Amino acid sequence: MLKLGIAIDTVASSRFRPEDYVFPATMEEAISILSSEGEKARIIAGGTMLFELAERKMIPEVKKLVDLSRIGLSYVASDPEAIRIGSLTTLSELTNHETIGQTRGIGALTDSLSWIRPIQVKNVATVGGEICSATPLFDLPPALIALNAKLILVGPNGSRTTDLDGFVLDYLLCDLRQGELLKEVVIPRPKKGSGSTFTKLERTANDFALLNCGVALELDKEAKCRSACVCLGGALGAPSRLSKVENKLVKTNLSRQDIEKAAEFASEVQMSQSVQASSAYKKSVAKIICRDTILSAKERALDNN
Amino acid sequence: MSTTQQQEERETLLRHIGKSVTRVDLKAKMTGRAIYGYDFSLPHMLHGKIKRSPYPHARILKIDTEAARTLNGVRAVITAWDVPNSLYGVMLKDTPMLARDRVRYVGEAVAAVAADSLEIAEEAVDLIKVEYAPLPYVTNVEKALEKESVVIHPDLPTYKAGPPFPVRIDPNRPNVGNHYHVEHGNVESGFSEADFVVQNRFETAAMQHMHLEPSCAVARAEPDGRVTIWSATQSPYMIRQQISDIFQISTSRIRVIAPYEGGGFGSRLEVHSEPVAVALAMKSRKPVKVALTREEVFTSTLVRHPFVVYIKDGVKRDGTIIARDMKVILNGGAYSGGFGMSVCRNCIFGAVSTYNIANFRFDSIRVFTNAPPGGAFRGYGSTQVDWAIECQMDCIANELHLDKIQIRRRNLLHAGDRNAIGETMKDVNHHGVVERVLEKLRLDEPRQDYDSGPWRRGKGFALTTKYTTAPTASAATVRVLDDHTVILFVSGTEIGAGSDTIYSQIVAEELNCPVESVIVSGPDTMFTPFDDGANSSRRTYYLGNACRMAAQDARQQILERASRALQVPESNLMVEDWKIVERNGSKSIKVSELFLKDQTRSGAFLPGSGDLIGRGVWHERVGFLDPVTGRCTTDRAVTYYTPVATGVEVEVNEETGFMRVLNIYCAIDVGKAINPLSVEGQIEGGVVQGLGGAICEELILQDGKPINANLADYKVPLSLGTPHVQAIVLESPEANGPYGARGVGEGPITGISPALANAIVDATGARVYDIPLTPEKILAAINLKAKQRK
Amino acid sequence: MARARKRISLNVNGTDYSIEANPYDSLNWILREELGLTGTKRGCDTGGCGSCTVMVDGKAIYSCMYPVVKAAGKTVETIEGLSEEGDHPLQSAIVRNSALQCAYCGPGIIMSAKSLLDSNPTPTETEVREALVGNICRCTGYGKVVKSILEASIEIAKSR
Repeated sequence: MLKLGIAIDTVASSRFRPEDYVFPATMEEAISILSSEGEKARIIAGGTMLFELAERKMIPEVKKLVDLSRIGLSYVASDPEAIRIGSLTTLSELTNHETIGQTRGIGALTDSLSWIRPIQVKNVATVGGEICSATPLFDLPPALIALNAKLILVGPNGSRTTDLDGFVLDYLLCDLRQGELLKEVVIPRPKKGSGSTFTKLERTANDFALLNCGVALELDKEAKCRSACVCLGGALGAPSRLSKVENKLVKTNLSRQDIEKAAEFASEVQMSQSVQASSAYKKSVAKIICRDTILSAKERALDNN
Repeated sequence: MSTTQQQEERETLLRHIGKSVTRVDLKAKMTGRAIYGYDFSLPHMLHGKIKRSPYPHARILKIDTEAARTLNGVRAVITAWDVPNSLYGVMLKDTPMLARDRVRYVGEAVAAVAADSLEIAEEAVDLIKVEYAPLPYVTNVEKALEKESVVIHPDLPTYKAGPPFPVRIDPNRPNVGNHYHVEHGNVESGFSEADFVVQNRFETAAMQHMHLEPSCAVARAEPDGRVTIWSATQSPYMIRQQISDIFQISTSRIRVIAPYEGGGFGSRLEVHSEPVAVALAMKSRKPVKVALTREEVFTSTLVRHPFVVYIKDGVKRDGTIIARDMKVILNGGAYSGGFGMSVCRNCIFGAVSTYNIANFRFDSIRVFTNAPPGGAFRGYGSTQVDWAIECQMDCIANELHLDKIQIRRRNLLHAGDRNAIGETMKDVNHHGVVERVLEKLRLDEPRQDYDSGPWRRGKGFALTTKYTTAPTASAATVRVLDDHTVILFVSGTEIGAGSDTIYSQIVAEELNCPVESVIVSGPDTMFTPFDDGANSSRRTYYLGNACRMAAQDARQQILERASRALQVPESNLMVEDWKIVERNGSKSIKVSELFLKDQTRSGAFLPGSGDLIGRGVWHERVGFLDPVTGRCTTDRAVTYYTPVATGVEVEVNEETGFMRVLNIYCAIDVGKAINPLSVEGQIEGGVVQGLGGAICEELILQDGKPINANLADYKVPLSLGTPHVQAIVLESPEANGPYGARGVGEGPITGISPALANAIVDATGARVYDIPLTPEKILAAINLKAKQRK
Repeated sequence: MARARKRISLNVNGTDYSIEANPYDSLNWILREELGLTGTKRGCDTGGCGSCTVMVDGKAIYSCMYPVVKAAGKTVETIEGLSEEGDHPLQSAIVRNSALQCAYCGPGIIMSAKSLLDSNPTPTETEVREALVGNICRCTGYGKVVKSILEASIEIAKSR
């Protein structure tokens, strides 16, 4: 069951009692601490998810918190190829950054930022935290996956670049290796003729996603679908791309019927039960949210031609 | 002069009543200076923490506290073996302060620690090792009702109960703690006369009060054996009685002081952490604060009883309900939950106070399970039966193709009618509230629906009636001081309802002085007189009357003394802004001049009596319900009934089951709005709390454990998505109410759930039979309806 | 246990404080238990209720899930610092409209609203509701408090 956990405690060691809290001044220092301390150290970015998990006694024995907020990773930069977001950029900073508002084709990102609430969380929660917390209920990852975002990770052995898609392995588990930290999220600048949308089903205006969906489409000159990226969150332990849906969309005219047919496959995906809803319900609405998100992304793509 | 004329004459003369006087508590609260229970602290106090059961049902084999006891900074560790072996409970003494040999729900208190810091207390609690032998458990109330069920309280027959709420032991149903029965007319013959029979099953979920301030108590054991407790309770005297019962200390030796309370909604009528705080304070000989976390509030205080309601109606072709048979099963959880037993009785009042049904049978059964205890919750049983009844009224209308409003009007109780428990109905203004909501809801207008897309629009309506319980009592004392202030001593906690302001308005009205002259003491059982507590929408009426009488008593004494001083007959004198003046004359004297000062001028006294004290008490006696027939022994079982009409407009998405609530109208006849802005606030807030229970709130148990005992997973209404509630206030005076006023606290919560479910039917044709009305349930109902159509 | 208690300086409502804190202490805990500023409430410890909302460097945050060490060298504003006499337009409007009841949510709501008005002096009703979405009020239906914030925004705009 997908849940942030329950938690009447029985385990004595589960109380959150780190012994040290450090602010490395540079990325190198941070990596060195993380490498030497291993499992005992844990990165803290905004801290909102960490405190949430700590209260639920879901943080394993952590001795040292390594705060990355003072190593200069709070930035949004753009070049002709990509938008580069420093991992410690808060969601508010990202929302208010002019580059984000002005870049065409990244509607999924701006949508997802507007779905994330409340402001008290957005003011401290970071882009890196949204990704590395590895919860399938967050809103930023499906949007970024749809936009084909890459991650630049740095660690004791240098830096590596990986797709965000596949980085989150399972519930609360991501492919962040020993001593490694997320430096930057790179969003390739969408091509002309592409459009993206993110939508969410939630119980109240401040809720983890019951289901969420990020879609990016690229149209060719005839307005046929050249490529499609459809990512569903809230279904399983990690946000996942729906390749069957994507394949069904490619090369079609994206008529309502094409989209409905493709979206049907969203309901074939396995779903976990969560506090919000049963797996059966999620299955029955997955195709709806997928369809609506694709329809909206198509409209945006047409506008971007 | 007729009563109405007198009323009108008074109204024109009223100075503070009926005015939206600024709340007396709000400025202190808005500057952060007001001290709530959670904020309260004493120098050198210890922090307490409770060890809780992880099992829904288990035998306790062994508790090892050694490691906790020896931890540095720990000052006291207690288990059941360190505290009196007594069971407590307002109406059934079934609850141990700490579990002794058996735990009955996840979150039950098993041991507790007091330490120099909260951090140490938390560590110490973790060090306590409890060995359990898990037992089979039952949380499904209908399973618990079976003879073969797991038995929650094998010793139930030996428990002591309060006289009005006898335990009804049933050997065939070992988990039944209480059973009420009402028999009126002849239900079988009623059904044989009926043209149609409509029967349904409805359910409600466990909703948590979610008072924003988590529960907290600070206790101090005084050197002479007395005990002082600071707790933001809804009922200081009830806390005092419970502590007295548990520790076998005379009530006069227990002092309960109530700071501001951050909401209670019924939960804080019951003790939460007070007994543990007292036990730890006694053991450690230091003050101890036991503040619950949000999670503990969810798992270990109280919930609104989940109900299963079976309702079967025999209906004539014209819509007359000729027979109604209702069976109501309350999931009581592991214990009596303080007032839980009376929820089982009082839900009857909700079922018999709106419609006149010639043949009526009602059974309410409260069943023990291994769920969190059910207790008092705003609406107090009415909400759950109203949910079923008002859905059922629409079901009947739909089945018979009758107008939904007409069928309600046709079956209404009228003034002078006898209801099913034998009460003679007074004039309850159902027609008025219906009219006023219909004016807004416009059911006569053509449907405004979307031409295409998945969204459908619908309107829904519900008519409900909230009782105010009896017999209860409230007393008030006023002390008039020589500097022209008056201190009002009442034990009514300012839980948020604006009561301190209402009392101030009433006292100022009767003494004809500015509201600012009144200081409300705040409850302190050592000084403030008895009050039954903030429950059953009773305080404006009961305490309002008591305050009024106390102020009138003081005024009378002022006039008597002034009369002697001025040599003017009392009847020729009036009090105005602390001056007693001669009507049509020139003589006057200030109230301060009635007092004498001593030679150091350090204070003043009143010759003869010292203080100028006014006293008032309001008490109403009513009959009791016969245990066999449910018939009331007199023609009155409650204080009064308050009519409520609720109308809603919604949009439902037929593909996802999501619902948007567009408009809510709630009309309630409050008798007299003593403070109109406060009344509006109560209506808006009550409706929105009800909205939470209607659409999203449920404490979910899985394997007997609550899995959403936090605010990320348990959802309540927020500023976005909550529509503006249009509060409609009617004022048909209540004969004995202060200035005609009735209470308003609970009525608004009673009708919102069925109104919404009825609106969903109106929009989609699909009905959901259990709240909360989640998208998932709505979609399932829509799909079922589609299948049936095929 | 060997814990590195950190000595940190922070500025709360214009006053500099030097305190010692554990690595896991929240700003909320320090404000309430060390500095005696109980106007900032505690309701859930997980950013679920909003009663602990304060402003750090001008931004509304949940103090219950904000490590106090993060606040070192920063400016913290709480309800106690809003006005000397409780006459800030936000406070006055809420009192005037009887907009809150138990008002345990009030200090947090006011700080959220202040943060909104500082960056957006003339918000729409929807913007106000958006800004309050992280502040649960269990007593009211939000209507009167939203109205009060809109009134206060007009009042503040006038006085500028």
